[in-house]
Amino acid sequence: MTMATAEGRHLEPTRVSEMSAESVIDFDARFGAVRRRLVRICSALVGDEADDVVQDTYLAARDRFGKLRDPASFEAWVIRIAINRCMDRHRRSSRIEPMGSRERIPSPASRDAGLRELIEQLPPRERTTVVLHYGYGYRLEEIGRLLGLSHTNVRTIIARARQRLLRGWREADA
Amino acid sequence: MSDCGRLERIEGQLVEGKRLGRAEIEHARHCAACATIIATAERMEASLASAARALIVEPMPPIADLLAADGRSSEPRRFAATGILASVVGPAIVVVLAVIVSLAALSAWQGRGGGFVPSPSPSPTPSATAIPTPQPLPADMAGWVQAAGASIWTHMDRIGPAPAMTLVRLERCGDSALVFFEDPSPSAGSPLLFGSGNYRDQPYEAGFGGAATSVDDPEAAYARSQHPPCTIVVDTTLPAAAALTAYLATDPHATAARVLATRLVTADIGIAYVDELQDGKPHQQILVLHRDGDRWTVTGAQGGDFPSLPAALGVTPLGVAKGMPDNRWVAVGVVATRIRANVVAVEITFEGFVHRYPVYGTAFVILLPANVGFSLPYAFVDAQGTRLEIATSLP
Repeated sequence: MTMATAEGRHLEPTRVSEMSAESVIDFDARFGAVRRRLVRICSALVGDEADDVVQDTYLAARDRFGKLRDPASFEAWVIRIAINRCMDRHRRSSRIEPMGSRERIPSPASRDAGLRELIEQLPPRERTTVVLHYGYGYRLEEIGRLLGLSHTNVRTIIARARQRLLRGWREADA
Repeated sequence: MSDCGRLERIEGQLVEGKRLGRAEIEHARHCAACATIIATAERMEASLASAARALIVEPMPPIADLLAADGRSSEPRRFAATGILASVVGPAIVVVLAVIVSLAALSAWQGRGGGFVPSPSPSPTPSATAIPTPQPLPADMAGWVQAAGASIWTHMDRIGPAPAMTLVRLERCGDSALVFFEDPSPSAGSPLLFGSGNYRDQPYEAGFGGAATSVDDPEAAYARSQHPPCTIVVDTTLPAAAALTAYLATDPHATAARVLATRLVTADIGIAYVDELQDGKPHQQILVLHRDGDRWTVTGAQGGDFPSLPAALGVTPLGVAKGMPDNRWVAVGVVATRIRANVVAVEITFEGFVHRYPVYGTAFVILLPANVGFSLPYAFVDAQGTRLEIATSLP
């Protein structure tokens, strides 16, 4: 690429943080080793958006890699970042959707399958919390600590998810 | 739908995981609707764990390991509130603080006469343009704008009181208003927060909204389309545009300059992608703008002869350049007219991964990590993920 500085107007940027080449290689190797696992974890939490979340995680973790105090905890650290990114997956669900405005859900073939479909349709934030709580068995306090949320907020998110699920379940039963 | 007056309350208790009182249980013995909702909730609760586990294909490390992982990696959004008292008082305090903070932010904005927070003094600059004093908020919209920041914050499930938010744009669309604030969260994926609502009726709400990449974000455009026509009441993006215009006017060699895309990097820094003719030849520049008190100024420029026409016939050009205030790089490009209607994102490959960035409009400015290198493979994709064009950034 031909790069030319505009004559007389270039301001040399101040570099405030820069990873060394060794750090980049180290980070990429570590991330590459855990990437598939991240995608599978995120698939449960946000479904089809897992790949996007893992890419976001890559960029976020890469920026903060120099601040990681214990390199041995790299995997847990990036998983934690990925879970936070799953929770932050607002964009596609940020429109406020009144309860019960979804299309009628077909009657499930089995109880679990129907409920699983309903969980998959939850907004990312609620789905993530439901899977962490009911699927992975984390307590609400632990989810709060993991995500940097208050216990009250986690409880609110779970309650909202339960309400959506309950109404969807009733519609399917009707 | 049942007309039982207790149904909603019982459902609320069930979804909050609260134990039903004796009175509710006794009532349900004689109320089919309430008995049904209780039974349904119990069945659902019994099935939730197995249904959620069915989604899991990968175990996670023990929770203790996750919690022990370097705490500085977590997002700075903790809000501690425990206990019954806190669960009642906490949200009330949040709302009050949010309103106070919003009022403070608004009054600061009105008093300062500009839309961006002060920054450290940048280097001396070749040109500076005074920011025009924005129009005062109309009396009939001021109350709604004051409440909108907190409302958006709440609807986005952001934790804690809404911090000071800087108004970027306000539009009037009949009885509705559309507002854009800078997203104050350091971890925000998009620079703006937006919301819309009826500014005439209290209580004021700005619930239809979310994050926005620009004031032309598709979701904002959708909100705008619901109540046309819309008129711009306040627009603090104009000062930056004025600074660009003044800066470009100082270059005797440049003609036909057009600002194709801009992006706020932080509250203090913006970048713009400019297409122009330098001595008659196509030339592109990435300009870096700083806010200095009441002025926006262009403090950095990096240009190249990125051809505005594709180097390889039929391929949309992508340029990559450095020159940001930190060591990130930027990718700039113009989407070819023939695919513009279908393109939703550009996928750029670096560090062995494909990274997807949304693309709106005719041109784009994308922030990249540091030192990603030139000659990047990229592809423009449509909403279905189909690759419409594949190429390598211009050598």
